[in-house]
Amino acid sequence: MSGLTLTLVDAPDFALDMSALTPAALAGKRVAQIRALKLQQGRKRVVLGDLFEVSGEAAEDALTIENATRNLHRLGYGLCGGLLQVNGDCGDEAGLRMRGGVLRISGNAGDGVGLGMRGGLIEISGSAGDFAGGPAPGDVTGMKNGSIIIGRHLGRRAGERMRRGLIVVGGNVGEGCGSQMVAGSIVVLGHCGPGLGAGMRRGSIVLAKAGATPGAGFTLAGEFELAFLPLLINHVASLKPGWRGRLSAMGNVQRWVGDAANGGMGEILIPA
Amino acid sequence: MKINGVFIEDTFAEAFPMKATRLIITAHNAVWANHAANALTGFATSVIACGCEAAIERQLKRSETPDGRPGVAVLLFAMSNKELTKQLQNRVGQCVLTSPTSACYAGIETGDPLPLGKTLRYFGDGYQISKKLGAKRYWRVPVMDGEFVCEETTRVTKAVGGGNFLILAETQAQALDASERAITAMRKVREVIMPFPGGVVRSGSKVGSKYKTLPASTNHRYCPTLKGVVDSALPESVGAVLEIVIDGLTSEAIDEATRVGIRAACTRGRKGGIVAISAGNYGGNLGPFHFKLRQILK
Repeated sequence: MSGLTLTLVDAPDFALDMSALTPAALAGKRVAQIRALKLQQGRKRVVLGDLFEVSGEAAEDALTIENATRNLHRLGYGLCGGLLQVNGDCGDEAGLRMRGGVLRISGNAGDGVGLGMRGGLIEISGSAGDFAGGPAPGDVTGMKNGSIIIGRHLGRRAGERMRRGLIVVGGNVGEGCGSQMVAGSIVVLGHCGPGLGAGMRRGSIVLAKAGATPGAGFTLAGEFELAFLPLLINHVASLKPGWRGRLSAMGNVQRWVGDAANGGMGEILIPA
Repeated sequence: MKINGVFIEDTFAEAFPMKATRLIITAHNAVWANHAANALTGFATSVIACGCEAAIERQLKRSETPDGRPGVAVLLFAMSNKELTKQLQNRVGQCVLTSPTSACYAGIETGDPLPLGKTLRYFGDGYQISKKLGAKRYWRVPVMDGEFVCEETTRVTKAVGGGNFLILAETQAQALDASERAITAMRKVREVIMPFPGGVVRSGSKVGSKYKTLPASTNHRYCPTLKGVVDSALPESVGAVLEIVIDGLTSEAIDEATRVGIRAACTRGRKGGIVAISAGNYGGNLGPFHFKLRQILK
């Protein structure tokens, strides 16, 4: 992959706001200009060149951050296009208010992945914390478009109040997955914690493993062969080809409808 | 020019620009996908009185359909986007939505969008579910056997309608046999349909009529029973004429269908009673697409 590479050589022991670094923001800048950029660290500002080694050429379509750590927050903030590749772990609010492009993180991520997301793809190879796809600070609803793919596990209240879009989790999710969901889809290949879909109005939570029992606000409508499911599986497989086998075993599904406490138009699909 | 002794007239088919779309209809099995497709394409032989021309393009394998079920590709042709939109709403709404286990998807990816599930979703009376997967939106409309899944829009493309050729034979049975052979071969060509019953039409028409209200009437010069009464275009030995009308997404597809169709029609040759192959045109003044038989068959 061509483009600019920022290699973290002096890992900060403080939280660093990386929201200024996107492929589009750095495109056209010379290496010296990029080294001189200042990043927010609490109330202070630090010079990028003191922490990162800069190599390659800035381009609108690609930016790589090497040796990333949990102290790098807000990576891919407002990303509109191109690929932001993060090798290593990252902190909170990765992909905050993202609108397009691809944010790929090879390690684990903190809380608030894809808050207020409007488009694009976030792909995290490891696990992520709480509130993924939820509302951005000050917003009422969560993500409104785009896709979040989590390779391993996801924390609590994933997809809270999400309005549209897709979250796919390769492992387990914590409590309150899809709580107060307005629309959109969440696919979980592992197990779910308690409070699944609590207060959801609409939207779909699709579980690839049988055995879960939704809460009291949900009613079993029956077992069905849904033509929509292969469409969803094909779409997920187009984003993550290796998961086709894990999903294609889904045949007939139980359709649980709820949450009755909030209109009851949401659904949880569980293999029959 | 002759093929197996069958004379190929030095003439051309005259065709017109049309608007077209492809739908993919799937169902629990191929039988029910075909039930839906046959209903959708019923009464769609000619834009003169049907609103559109439509037929099954080909059968689709599971691997070729969006939902992995058996399916059918259908092409619809109309004279305008407005008419095509109207026909889509009526036909998909009454023939596909109603057919057990069916689903309906766009079969063309480029071009202006035409509403499909976008309007049919209202049948769900508020219980319909929207699902946006990537760039596509699907509607899940609850129905009595589960759900009707329908893509929000399909795409319209420029197309060509009215390609044709005429099979002139000694007897009705020989003309029919040659037509059936032609249609069997032509159905292997993609991006074309032959919209008439069985792909064949026996009532070729001319523009106008002695009756002022009729826009079209029988092509009397090709009616064998009128030989001796009118200025017949038919040789003495011809006792029946059948026409194959071709609509295609491209003129190249019509070329190919014409080529394989005529060659198949000439299989039994002059000894089998096939006298000549001709084509219908209006002197080249009405349609911009001219399919010259001898050039196509070179």
